[in-house]
Amino acid sequence: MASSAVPNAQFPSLNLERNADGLPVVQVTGAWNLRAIQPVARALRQQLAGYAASAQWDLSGISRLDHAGAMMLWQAWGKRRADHLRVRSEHEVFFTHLQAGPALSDRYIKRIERRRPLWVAGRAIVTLGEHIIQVLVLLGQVSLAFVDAVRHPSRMPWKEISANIYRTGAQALAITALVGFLIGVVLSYLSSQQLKAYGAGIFIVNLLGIAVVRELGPVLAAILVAGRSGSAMTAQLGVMRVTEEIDAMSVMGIPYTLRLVLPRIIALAISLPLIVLWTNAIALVGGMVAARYELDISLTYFISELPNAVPVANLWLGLGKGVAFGTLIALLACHFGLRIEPNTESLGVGTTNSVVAAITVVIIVDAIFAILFSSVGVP
Amino acid sequence: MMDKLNNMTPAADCIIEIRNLWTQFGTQVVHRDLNLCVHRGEVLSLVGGSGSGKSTLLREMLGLEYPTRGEVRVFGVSLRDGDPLELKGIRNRWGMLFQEGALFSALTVFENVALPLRELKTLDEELIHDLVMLKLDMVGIERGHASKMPSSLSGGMVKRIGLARALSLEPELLFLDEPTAGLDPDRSESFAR
Repeated sequence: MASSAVPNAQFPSLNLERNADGLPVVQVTGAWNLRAIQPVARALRQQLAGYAASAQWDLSGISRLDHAGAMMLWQAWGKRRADHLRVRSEHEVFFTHLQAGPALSDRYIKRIERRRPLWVAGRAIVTLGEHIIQVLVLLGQVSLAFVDAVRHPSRMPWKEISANIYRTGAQALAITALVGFLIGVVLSYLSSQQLKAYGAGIFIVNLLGIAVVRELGPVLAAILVAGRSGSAMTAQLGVMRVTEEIDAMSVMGIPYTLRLVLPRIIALAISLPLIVLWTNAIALVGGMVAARYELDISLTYFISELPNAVPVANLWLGLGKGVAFGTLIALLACHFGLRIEPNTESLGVGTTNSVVAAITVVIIVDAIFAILFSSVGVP
Repeated sequence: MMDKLNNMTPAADCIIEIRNLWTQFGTQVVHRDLNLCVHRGEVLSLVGGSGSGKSTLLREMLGLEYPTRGEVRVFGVSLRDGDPLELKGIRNRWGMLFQEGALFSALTVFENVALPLRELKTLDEELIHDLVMLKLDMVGIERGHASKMPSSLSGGMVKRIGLARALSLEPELLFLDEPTAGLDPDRSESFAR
């Protein structure tokens, strides 16, 4: 690769000289590979633009050439071969490549979709409709699978149900306990300060009991489980879609609604009410502890007064909500998981949507429960 | 295969130089005292049964994994102890084609090939555009595919685009992991050339 008498063969350079006939010739010398031209690309580009009108080019002094260097010269010549060109035979291949190469005139244009507000609104409504239909279809398929499994208990995916109860229930105990306890403490502490002002401290039992057992426990547990287990379910099914595992199951004749969706829904419908019970208990403990210090209400009084303050119907209502929320979270998580397309972006968007949709639906359904059961469990 | 590698004596002008390399996973020894030297202009194929440590050795040559013992030097720089700036420079001098293409799924075909060039931060868009189109043409990808996303392409096309991306920085050293697996025989043939 020894260059012919150029002092700085490592650097690309350009010189305008006159040949024997007195015509201007552009002498191109040095290394014209990407590594060499890359640091000085802008200056070279300007220099080349200045010489673009020249017809005579001498490239025999180039020590190294690659496609990037050849392309830079090619662009300076107006994307065609210079009229009078001297080039080393071993470098000729790059220019034949360029000559035979793609038409560079029509540019690649990144398609940016124009989105008018009306289009966006229409698209959102259509998408929502698609989601609702797909969820209903999935619910139908799962119901059929469930009926089938009840008729033939040997087909019921017991192991999967048990594994999912462990994953969504047992492993969620610590986090729900922590959050439940702290919410209980905060709620009790703030209420105590208000109740104290009216001398109505003993009503803390009614306030906390109804709030936690009827509303806070189920909703808190559902939101935590939606974030924890719902996202995991969506990601699991999504990855199985990406790696074609679900297709493999279909090919083997194993219905994925029976093996993947049904056990998740059943498991969460069982474990979420249990988590609700657990969250209720821990939140009440937190409330009791705060009331003990803030209002001097003894733990024994709190516990003995609780059944009188909170009719047991509230507990059943809370557990019923737990079953409904669990079913919905698992159903939505599976729905979003099965919709994921084989790319990383879709996986991220799908998981986010799954959690957002699950939490939104939980709160909507909670509001429906509140209206439907407004006369139940109120003393 | 290992015997042949061991018989080579390390020379001074090695592009890739591996000295006394050991790789162990727990008690399982994958590479036992391996020495290897790849010279400029040389084409080296690693052949062996599955699980014999080909991919691990490749990953160790790329600095993605470190050997249990021994040293890997590429362009004379040690991958483990080399100066971080020098190592960064080396990464612009080699290209790697991954087995499954490893295209960025969030970027279009064009942007995938343009990414290494754009990362240099010194080239103008026109040069990048024309270079990308040239590379895509060289691997036989029609320009109509340039704006597509990798997920909508076949495995063979993904692989060829991966090659275009590996070649986009005009690398002096090219690593190919199973380059012809998943390509049609015709393409395999032209790939080899």
